[in-house]
Amino acid sequence: MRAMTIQAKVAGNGYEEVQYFPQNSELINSAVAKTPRPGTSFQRPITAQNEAVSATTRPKTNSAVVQVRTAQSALLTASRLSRAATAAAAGSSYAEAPVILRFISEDNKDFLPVAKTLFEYVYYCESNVRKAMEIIFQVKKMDEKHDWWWNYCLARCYYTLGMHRNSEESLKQSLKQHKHVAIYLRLVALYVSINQPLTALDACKQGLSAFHESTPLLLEQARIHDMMGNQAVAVKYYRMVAIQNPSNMEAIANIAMFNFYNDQPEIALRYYRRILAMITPGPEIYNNLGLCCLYCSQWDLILPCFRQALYYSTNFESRSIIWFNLAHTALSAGDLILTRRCLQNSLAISEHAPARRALLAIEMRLKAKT
Amino acid sequence: MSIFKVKQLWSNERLQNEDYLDGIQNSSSVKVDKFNLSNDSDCILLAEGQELKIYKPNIEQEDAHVILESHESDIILQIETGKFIIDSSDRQILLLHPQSFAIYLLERKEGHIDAGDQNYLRPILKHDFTRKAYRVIVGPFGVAKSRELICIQALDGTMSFFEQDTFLFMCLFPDVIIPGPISYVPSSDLFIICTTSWVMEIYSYQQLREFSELSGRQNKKIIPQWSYSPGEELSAVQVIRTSSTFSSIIALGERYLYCFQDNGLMKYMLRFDFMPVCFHAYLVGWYYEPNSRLLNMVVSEDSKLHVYEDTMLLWSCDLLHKTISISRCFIKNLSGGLVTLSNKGIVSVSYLGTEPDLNSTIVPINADPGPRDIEEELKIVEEALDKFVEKADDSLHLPSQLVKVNIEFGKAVESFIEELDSNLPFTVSDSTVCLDEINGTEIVETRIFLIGDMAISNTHTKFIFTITETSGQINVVSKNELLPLALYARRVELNSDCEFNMSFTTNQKYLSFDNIFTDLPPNTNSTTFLYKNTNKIVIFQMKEEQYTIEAKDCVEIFPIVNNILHRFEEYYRQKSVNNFEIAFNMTPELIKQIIHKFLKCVEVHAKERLQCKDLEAQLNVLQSQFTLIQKKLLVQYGSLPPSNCDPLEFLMRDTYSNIIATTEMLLTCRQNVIRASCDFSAVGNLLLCVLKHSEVEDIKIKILEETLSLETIHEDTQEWEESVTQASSHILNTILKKEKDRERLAPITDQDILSHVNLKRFLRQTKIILDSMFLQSTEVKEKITRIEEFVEVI
Repeated sequence: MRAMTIQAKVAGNGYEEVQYFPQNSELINSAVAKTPRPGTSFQRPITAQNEAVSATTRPKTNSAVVQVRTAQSALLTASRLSRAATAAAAGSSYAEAPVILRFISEDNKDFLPVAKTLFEYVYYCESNVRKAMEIIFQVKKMDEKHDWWWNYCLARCYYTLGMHRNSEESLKQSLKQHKHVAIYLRLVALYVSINQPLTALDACKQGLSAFHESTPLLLEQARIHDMMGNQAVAVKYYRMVAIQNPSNMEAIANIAMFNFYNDQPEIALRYYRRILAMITPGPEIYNNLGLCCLYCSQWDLILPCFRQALYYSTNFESRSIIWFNLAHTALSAGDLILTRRCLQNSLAISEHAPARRALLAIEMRLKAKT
Repeated sequence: MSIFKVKQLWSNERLQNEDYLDGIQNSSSVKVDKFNLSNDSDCILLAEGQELKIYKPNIEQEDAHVILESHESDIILQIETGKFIIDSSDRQILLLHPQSFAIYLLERKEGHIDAGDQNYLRPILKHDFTRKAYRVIVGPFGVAKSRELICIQALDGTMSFFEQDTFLFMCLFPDVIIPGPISYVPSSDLFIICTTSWVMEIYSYQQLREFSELSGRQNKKIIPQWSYSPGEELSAVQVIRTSSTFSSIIALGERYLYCFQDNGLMKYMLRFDFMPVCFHAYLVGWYYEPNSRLLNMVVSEDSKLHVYEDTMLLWSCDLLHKTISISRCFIKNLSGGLVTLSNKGIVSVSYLGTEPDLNSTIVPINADPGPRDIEEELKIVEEALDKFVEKADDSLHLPSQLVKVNIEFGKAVESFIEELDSNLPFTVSDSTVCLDEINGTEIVETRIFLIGDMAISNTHTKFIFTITETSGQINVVSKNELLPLALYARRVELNSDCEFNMSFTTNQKYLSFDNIFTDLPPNTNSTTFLYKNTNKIVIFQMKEEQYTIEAKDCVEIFPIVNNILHRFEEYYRQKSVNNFEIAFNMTPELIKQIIHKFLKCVEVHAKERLQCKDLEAQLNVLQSQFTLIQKKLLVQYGSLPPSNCDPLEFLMRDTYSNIIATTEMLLTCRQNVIRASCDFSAVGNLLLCVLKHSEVEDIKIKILEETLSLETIHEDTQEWEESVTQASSHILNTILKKEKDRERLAPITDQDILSHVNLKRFLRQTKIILDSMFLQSTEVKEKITRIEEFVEVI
């Protein structure tokens, strides 16, 4: 018995590291929810700039694209940051995970108590979905009043295998047994991934009726609305999230972005400044601050902001975008030569289609002048 | 993700040992409670390995933080307090060791002398058991009124119940393999047990008691009052009484916080987007008050504190330490302080401050540099510059003289240009000054510096004024001024033997030196001058009714002679003596010596120039070579297939280093030319000076002076030898026309003047001219009448 306990404890140790994985999987969930969003959010600016005629208006709309993108990446990096530590811990566990859990056979009387731990180990550490599903079925066979959690996990397995319908079924079953925020979230993620936003919103509503003002569900709802292009509705939900949890970065960033496009850069500036106070500084936030300053006519702060952005930026793409925005700033100042230089800089760092088009327009303009 | 930081009020950081063993503390090794000893504030009990420490934090007194530190026989796993003994007024301390527990009473002994009061732990009881303990919970199980019972959870999940030191019973759960969090609800006598299958089960004490008697014999399963499956492992459970009828059970999972009533009703579920580490729930107000609020403090893995009321986030701030345990305490002057135990064993009491954390710690590298940084950078740059131009630096310390030019105009002038011209080694700070629209008096200030260590040849400065009047008329006025002696020489008390000496007499009676040098004591007959730049000396003294000037070489003598003569003239002018004259006593040997020296210097100068020319030619060749190699190399680089470029590259590098070396040589050579020119111009000036004060008619001297044009040599473009050759032949042919001389002199060939032959001829020519001049001067002395004839001839 003692030996068994120790073994279980070792398994438990293995589990200790594994337990960080659920968050990772949820990150994947939310990432799934997020990935279609840039595409949809692009639609607006792209249609706006379609064949824009004059050279002066074109870069402006282009920078709007940039704004969206940078705000997105700000969110992504922010959420990533908070989980960076856990990811690091999780990453090491692969090599160290010491146990092969053949000790605990199905006949053992300790099988049921440790089954959940075992499942997580197999699912996350060994990433053997089939074996994990075997465990689930074994448990279901042995225990008639099995937990809701098993259905939930089964849905997770089906989801990873791409069997969305089966997954939906098991989630609904699990929901019958028990109401838990995690099930709703998973359901929403599922619907989003099979591109049924309205059903997803329905699921959100059901969840919210069970858990009033639950931040993750509200956030999910806001994301779906945002994705569908209902910015105003999305902002309403984002505001609700921000009231519940004033330190939720995603909500604040989205409200700021909405204000920025709603021709209220002063308000957006205040939101961005609050974000700046909360997070470790990055290129996106400074870029957004710089753009806000530009539209607020706070000329003394524009260049310092962009300079900080350039200082913090590490990848070529964001650097290129920051230079593009700088070109826009230069254009607002009426300095065509400087604009051209900024655009050239942007293109030199990384190929960026709006920058290319803007550069062509500027060149034409300059030629026409001379 | 927080703006604020906690403000620390008290910490045991300074009381801690430096070496801290990781992992000797857990979340339950800190306990906050109140004892009789300290009624006004809470005590913090801390277990650290085998040591028990009791602190009483306060702000005012510095010394009384530690109430007690004791070393126990075994590792302390957990500290609990409660009333375990009936006949005791104070609360007792229970220490859980791996295989025993012990109960102590904290007491105070009056000090005998001045040592003060002494605190000590009085052991009350101790009990050993066999199973390894994991956790202890205490409480009035079974609604015991007067005392609290003890329940110890072992490492295998079994729960053993004790009353004082008596063992009551033991429970064994089939679902529990490793111990999970357990808790007790006093208001409804319930036990909360978290099983290994991640289910929270609630049993009453009565159930457990019955179950323990049944177990072993029958395999009957115990059915909990209610249970909840959170779908994740629970890490902590806390029970808090929220109303007179109900208590709240708060459980922390991996990602969620659950809140239940003790009848199984779920109040709310909270999902975090961070990893929670520990939490502490507390009630603001009393449970019997209707509007009391239940708040949760949750500590995240990145050491942030979040305070929630229900699902609403009220406050979030930075805790500054990684925290493994959090609770609240009430101490004097601070009700509701945060007690945190960090992963380094540091207990601190803090409160929620509002100092915003605006990333002030991160100093961006490309922030605008402060003035100090700029200063430092400038200093570095300046140092580098100084190294580069060291010589320029010297001029700052060199003697300088302020020149003030006072200009007065009678009428309005439109523009005015002043130029200052001085010979090496003197330079002027502003060589040209332009003034516009002057009416009245103007003072122009410039500085004259002494640079370089060459001989001083000419101490005159020439001022040229170009004046444009309002009418458009342009006037040019020039004026020669002697530079003051103090600029280039100073008086020293030093005597050394001098090879060269010159003497002169005046037609006036002997004059003491203090008349012409105001700073000398009266009746001085001798004085010595030292040149500031060359450190050579000139002695001026009175000897046998003659004024004698002595120096090592005739090169140095001229500036002093000139100055002295000037001073004499000035003196007698003031005395209004008109017929003052100076006569040099020149022996033919002396004249010969000077002329020889002059010619020697000219020769040196010519040789240096030749060398200079050679180097220039060499540099020219090298430069064209370098260009050629570059071109070839470029062709080579571009050729297909690429050929070996190494030899060419080597050649190029070699040429480059040659160019550098040649250039350096050229520079030193130029310097030598200048030095030589200074030398011969000094001697030449001396010659002219001597001639001036001899009886040779002025026009000849003037012609000679213009011929030699000693001022012009310093300009680099001037080729002195070439220009003088032409002029000197003119002198020879016209002024000093003598048949025999002419025959003796071969005409100068068409070759370069600096060529060996021509140079020799040139020197001879010059020698003849000078000789004849001096010859005349001596002749004149003997036969004054002949001079008149001579003049008539001319």
